[in-house]
Amino acid sequence: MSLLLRGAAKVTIYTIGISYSVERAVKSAYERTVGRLLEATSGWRSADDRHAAYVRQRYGAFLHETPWYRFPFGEAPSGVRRVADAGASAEFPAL
Amino acid sequence: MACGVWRTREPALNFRHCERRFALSAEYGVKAVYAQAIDAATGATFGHDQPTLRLVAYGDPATLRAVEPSIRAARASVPIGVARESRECGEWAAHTGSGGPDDDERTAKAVAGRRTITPFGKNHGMILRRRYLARNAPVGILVSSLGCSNQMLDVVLKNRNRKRDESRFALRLLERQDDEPAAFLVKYESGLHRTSAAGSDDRRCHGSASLLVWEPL
Repeated sequence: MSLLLRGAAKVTIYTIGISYSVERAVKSAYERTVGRLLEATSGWRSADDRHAAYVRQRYGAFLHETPWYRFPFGEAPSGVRRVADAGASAEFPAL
Repeated sequence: MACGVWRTREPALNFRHCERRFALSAEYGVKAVYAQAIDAATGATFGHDQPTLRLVAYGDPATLRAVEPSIRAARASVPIGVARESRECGEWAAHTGSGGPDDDERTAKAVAGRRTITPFGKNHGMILRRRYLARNAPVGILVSSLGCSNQMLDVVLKNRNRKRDESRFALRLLERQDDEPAAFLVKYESGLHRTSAAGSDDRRCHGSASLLVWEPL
């Protein structure tokens, strides 16, 4: 492998490693405090929880074919998706 | 109701509903911005991903399309032969920088003889880096060894920096009858793989080829 490719590969690995670590750290800190508090008081079966699980499901399938950065994260808050108001649906079972 | 996380309705779990709405929106927003930056950086460094794979297959395009509807013929009836047997590999040579009989011989040996059963499914899409592909130019993937239903090809291409890389492709026989040309589908399996040529197969394919584009669903 050429020096150029080796350098690019290292940058890629470092970028992924650092960004993923930061993401997990931030989410862990949030979910273990605010998220846990709200979960204890309000549960975890809201329509938004189901929507989040759906997005994750799509994201997992998406990664099989496409780089992660092509995933339409920007569409997740406002994109088209049918989410039941409450309870389970055929498309999206109860958590 | 068509809705994203900002259009959900939650009559019961109000606190959780509001908290998730803002938390998830923050997550998606940050990721959207970061993904755009990474996409731009990756494109500048490695080239943008090619969503389609151009390949050479043998058989009637209509037949192939009947087998796999997502295949689209880019150019049909391109005369091409196995490099070892035929020198009609201008497209291939353009990508490899080869063209001499020695290179063709080595390449033909590299692509022959690897017979690994490879599962095939639509979930395994094609991701090709543009650096391996000249824009609007067909990639001469050498096809040989018609005698088995599944085999692996090691396709040697050169990137735009003229550095030789090897990518691994899976070759699947879609349809073949004794008296008819075989139809092939070449499936990109993964990124750069260092592989070595192993074995050879003297069976060669004849006839015309169809240049197809595999488009992941």
